[in-house]
Amino acid sequence: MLPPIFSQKASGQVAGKFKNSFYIKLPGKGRGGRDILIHAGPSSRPLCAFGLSADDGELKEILDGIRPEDLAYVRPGRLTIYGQEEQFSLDWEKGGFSIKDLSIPVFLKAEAAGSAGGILGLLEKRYERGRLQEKMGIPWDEGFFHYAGILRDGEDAEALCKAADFFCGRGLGLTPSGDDLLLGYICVLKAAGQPEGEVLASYLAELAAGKTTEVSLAYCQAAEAGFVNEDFKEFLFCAFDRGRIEAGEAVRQLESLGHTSGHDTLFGAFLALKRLERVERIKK
Amino acid sequence: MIYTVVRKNSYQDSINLMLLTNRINTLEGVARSQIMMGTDANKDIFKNSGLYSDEVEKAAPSDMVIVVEADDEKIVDKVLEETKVFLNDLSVKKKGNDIKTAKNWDEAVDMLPDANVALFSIPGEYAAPDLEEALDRGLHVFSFTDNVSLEDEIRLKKKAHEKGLLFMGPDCGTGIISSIPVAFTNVVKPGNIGIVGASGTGIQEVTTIIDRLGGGVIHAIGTGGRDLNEKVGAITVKDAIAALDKHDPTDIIVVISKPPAKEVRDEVVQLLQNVSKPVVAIFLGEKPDHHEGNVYLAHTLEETAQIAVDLANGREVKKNYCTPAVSPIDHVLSSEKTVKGLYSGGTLAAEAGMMISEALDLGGLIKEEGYILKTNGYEVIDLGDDIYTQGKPHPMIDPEVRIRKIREYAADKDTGVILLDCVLGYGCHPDMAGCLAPVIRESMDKAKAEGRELYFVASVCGTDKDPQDYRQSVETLKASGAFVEESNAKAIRLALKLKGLDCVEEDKAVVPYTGPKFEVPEVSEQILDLLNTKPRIINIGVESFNESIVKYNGKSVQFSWKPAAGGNKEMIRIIHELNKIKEIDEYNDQVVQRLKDAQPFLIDVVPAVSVIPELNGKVLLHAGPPTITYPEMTGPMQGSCIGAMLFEGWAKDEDEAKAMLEAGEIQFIPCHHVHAVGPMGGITSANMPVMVVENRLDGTRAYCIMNEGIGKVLRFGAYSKEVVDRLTWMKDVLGPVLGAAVRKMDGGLNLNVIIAKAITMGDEFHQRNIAASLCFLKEVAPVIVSMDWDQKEKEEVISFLAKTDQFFLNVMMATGKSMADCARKIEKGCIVTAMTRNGRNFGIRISGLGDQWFTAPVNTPNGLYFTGFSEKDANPDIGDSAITETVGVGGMAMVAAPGVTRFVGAGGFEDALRVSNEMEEICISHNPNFTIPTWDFKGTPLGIDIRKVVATGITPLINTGIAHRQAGVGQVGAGTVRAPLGCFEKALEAYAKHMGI
Repeated sequence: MLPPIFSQKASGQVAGKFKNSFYIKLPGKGRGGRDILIHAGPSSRPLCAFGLSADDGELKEILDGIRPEDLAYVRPGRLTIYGQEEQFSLDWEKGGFSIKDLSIPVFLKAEAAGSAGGILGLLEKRYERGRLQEKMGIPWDEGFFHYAGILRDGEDAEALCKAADFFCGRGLGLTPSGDDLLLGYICVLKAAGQPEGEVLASYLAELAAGKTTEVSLAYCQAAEAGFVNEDFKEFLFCAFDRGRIEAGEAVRQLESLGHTSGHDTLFGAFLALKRLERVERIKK
Repeated sequence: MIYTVVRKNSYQDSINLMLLTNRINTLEGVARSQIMMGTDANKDIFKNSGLYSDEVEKAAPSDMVIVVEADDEKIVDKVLEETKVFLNDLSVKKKGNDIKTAKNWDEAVDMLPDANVALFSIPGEYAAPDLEEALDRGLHVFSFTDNVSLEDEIRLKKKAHEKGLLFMGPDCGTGIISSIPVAFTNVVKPGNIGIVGASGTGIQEVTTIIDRLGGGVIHAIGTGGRDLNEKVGAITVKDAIAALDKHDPTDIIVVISKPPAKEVRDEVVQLLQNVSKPVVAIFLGEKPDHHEGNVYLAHTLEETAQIAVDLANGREVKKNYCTPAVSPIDHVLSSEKTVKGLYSGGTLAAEAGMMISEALDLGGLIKEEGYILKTNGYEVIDLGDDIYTQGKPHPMIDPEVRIRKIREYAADKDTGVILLDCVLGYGCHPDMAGCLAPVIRESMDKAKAEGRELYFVASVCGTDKDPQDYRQSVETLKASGAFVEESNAKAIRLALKLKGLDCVEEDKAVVPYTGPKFEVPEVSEQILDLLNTKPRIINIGVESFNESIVKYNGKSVQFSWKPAAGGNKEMIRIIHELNKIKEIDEYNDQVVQRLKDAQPFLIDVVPAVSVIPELNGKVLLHAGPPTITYPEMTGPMQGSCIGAMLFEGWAKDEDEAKAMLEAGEIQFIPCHHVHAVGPMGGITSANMPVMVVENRLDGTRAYCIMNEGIGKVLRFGAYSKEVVDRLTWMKDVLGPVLGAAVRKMDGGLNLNVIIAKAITMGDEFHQRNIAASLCFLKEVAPVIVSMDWDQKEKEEVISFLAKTDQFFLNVMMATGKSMADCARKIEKGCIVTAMTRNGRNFGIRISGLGDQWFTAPVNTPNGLYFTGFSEKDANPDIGDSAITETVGVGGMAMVAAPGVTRFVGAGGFEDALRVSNEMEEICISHNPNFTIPTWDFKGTPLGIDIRKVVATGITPLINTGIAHRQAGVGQVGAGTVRAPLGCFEKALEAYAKHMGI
């Protein structure tokens, strides 16, 4: 199902432009008057939870022709960006686009893959070898250990929210490391059907506005709405032994994300899987 | 004292000349000055300014006229020096800006073959033919040019519509095409709003407000102020609306207009009701009380922009956009205080007039001497009106007039508020706010010192992407004490608020449309291409217009335009009509092909009477066009006549010869009429030997007497015993020996081969023939030596040929005649087939008019003189030797013989190159048989087209010897001379009549 904005009229502008992707911001078009971001990336890469992807060549042409603050308009079925030299349209009604389901799969009764070759096992090894710590974007200081522990073992929602307070917006980057950690954590719990996943997702979506970057906020909002990036969805399937790809491959895909984002997210997922292990939701 | 200097054929566009005038007026010692082109309209301005003189009267439209009023005549030198510096700076900027420059339409289109727009900023009185030419070449027109007649506008717009093209203008000052600012325009963010505007500052105000509100504009199509006139019928407006309806990236259509004819307005609104996109329309002067159907009707330019941005962003249109003004002072100005507006933008002035008039119920607007409103002390002036801009730059470029008017109004004790606009964008002053701030401050301080209240309210029409600094402009005006508002409408409301008046707008609701529904007309491919691609523009006029086009990644080439035919409107009309007849080019090509295919061979040397039977009796041939009698002849020709008579034995001495000549006993026939040509006086008699050149293409033959050498010779009018003896020797020895030698050569002597060789060796075959003469000698000498002939005679002949460097001149003349006489058997087209002079008149013939001559008084050559002689000794231009230039050599091929430029006083290699490049402009082809190494192996220019001569004002340049004006003295120098334009103009008129024009 497409986000509602894709069938409305809205105006905005190019909010960020990167090597392989760009964002459009549509001010005030989200729930409660929040801004909406739409990500556009190449089809050779995993689809973003709140975006669309276009043919690599077409996307390169667009990237070459647009600049930040160029105006963009969403019309039902189409996004048009007004570059200085040319206008670019991505027409998902007529342009051969297909819809991908990026909703978080829910495995209410399934058990997380706990074997050595499963996701938890692979992450455990990395943790023990220090490979997660060395590649994360957040220092493992006293506060880190304290709140990570809460996420793993905390009983009540209030405690979990305090952990969210700590991690939200912490660290550098387009998506701060603390946010990535929380999102990895939340989405595994939501996939497991754990109620604390829902609670924390809603809390984070409110908290993040004003505390973190626009892009990270968009991910938090997507998670709250129940959507993840394509590669993380694959990871979730693997985590619950329904993988369509090999577990090691799913982990490696996430590890390659961003500067530290992938490792931050994996650590969050690791914390969630350890929590599930504690509540006996792990297959031995 | 008034001093006038006229620079002939020195065209500059009016804006540059206005800026130059401003600069000259600041020089010490200059009381006042005016520098303009010598058009009729400008002469009126000179008259009205009291700067008129005889020289101004005589100036041609393509002449630059400099008039200076000063006490000291020496100031004129300073003025000329300053002018030179200014124009040199312009040309350096020209060279530095990487824009290619064309001199004519064909060149411009060659440089930019995918051009789709022609942008005009040239004087309106000459513009119509070129505007039409642009349409004929399939180009959309953007005409910044104004003062085009209404009749021409109607005709051209209908033509454009039929051809599927857009005619934007005339008087289209502003436009945006595919996000590129064109002409006097602001830089506005690209977005989904498309605008059609019959108004310059109307478009500027709306687009800049859209930009500041976060919206963007993809196109702003200017239509010119008269498009909604009932006679024009909104042709461009309607086509533009239909086009934007079909243009995918345009989501919202905006139409901006001054008050239109009612019927036309209604047609336009019906069309707007049938387009598929939401529309915002403003017909300035109307105060709508509702919106209707698809169309949201605005009262002010600001409201237009606000509605457009809301629609663009998918927001609901508000019922009311008017925000009440908040007064910055704590009281209301007293009742006698009035509001006055001094505007540089016409539509902004109109908006001010409208809003003030509505608020105070002052009746409608006026258009008198620049006033938009003038009632009860409330005045609004459009300083861009013609009355203020005659001979002066527009107030958006130059603040001088506005500063003067500010002081006038500020000194009036009843002035309470002065309203101003400050317009930014391409073409406008780099810091208008900085220019106005001091006079605003000064006026307010003065009023305060006198115990009066005076306020200034301003708005800045611009964006932060404009070449000027928008924010700084606002700050500068604020710092001067003015109240600065975000829009003209807000500024006007504030001005009225200071008077205690509140401008109120009623809520507007949307009422359903119940009028006719119909399909929006189809749009042509060319118009869709214009809207969907970056424009490729041929810029004709002001060069600075290229700047914004190139900066925003459009393409442009510069067409260095000047009025055709020196501004002679009848000639311009004729040329334009002839150029429409495509067959003329085909005919000309056929004529020139004949010239190219010529195969001239020297086949004999015989007594003239044996091949020219007309010479039976006391008959002399002469150079030049008919008709000339002995008394009319200049000295050298008269002298030649005497010499010929003595040679023929018709008279025993000079006195007897003169008596016979004066008695009319000798009949004269032009050489040209009997397939002959003769150098200088051209006098040819029965027993003089002539060379026979046969053009093997079709057997055409031509004749010319042989070259006698230089100095005291018959052709220069000498007739001493020495001259006559030489002529006798030539008859008895040179002619027979050479004739026998040539007859001995199998097939004769191939002259194309000699010419082709010699042109690479530095000859041009009029003034310089040394290489060809040597090549000639190389061919004939062995044959002569081998002949069974008197040894002494053979030696004399070879010796004569060896020392006569100019011998080949006469061979070339006969060659040229054989080429031209063959080509002119195609009696079509307008290629020159003869050029000749008789010391009084210069005559030409053209291919399409057969034997008819067109004459005008000759010029006198300029050049170098032998020691002891000067210009006062020179005889006017004379001789048939211009047949060489007729077939593309001589002065036409000056670059082949740079050595001759010094001799004829024409400068150096660069001058030679310049001359040949210039001659190329009046020819239609090149002769591949005669390629010139120093011209990158281009062939000699061939096929002088009289249309090009008259259009460019470039007449053929002829290299020539200079004879002494008195008979008997001989040659006194050598130089160059121009053919007079008059004969080409006459030929053109006659040819036009022949072609039914």
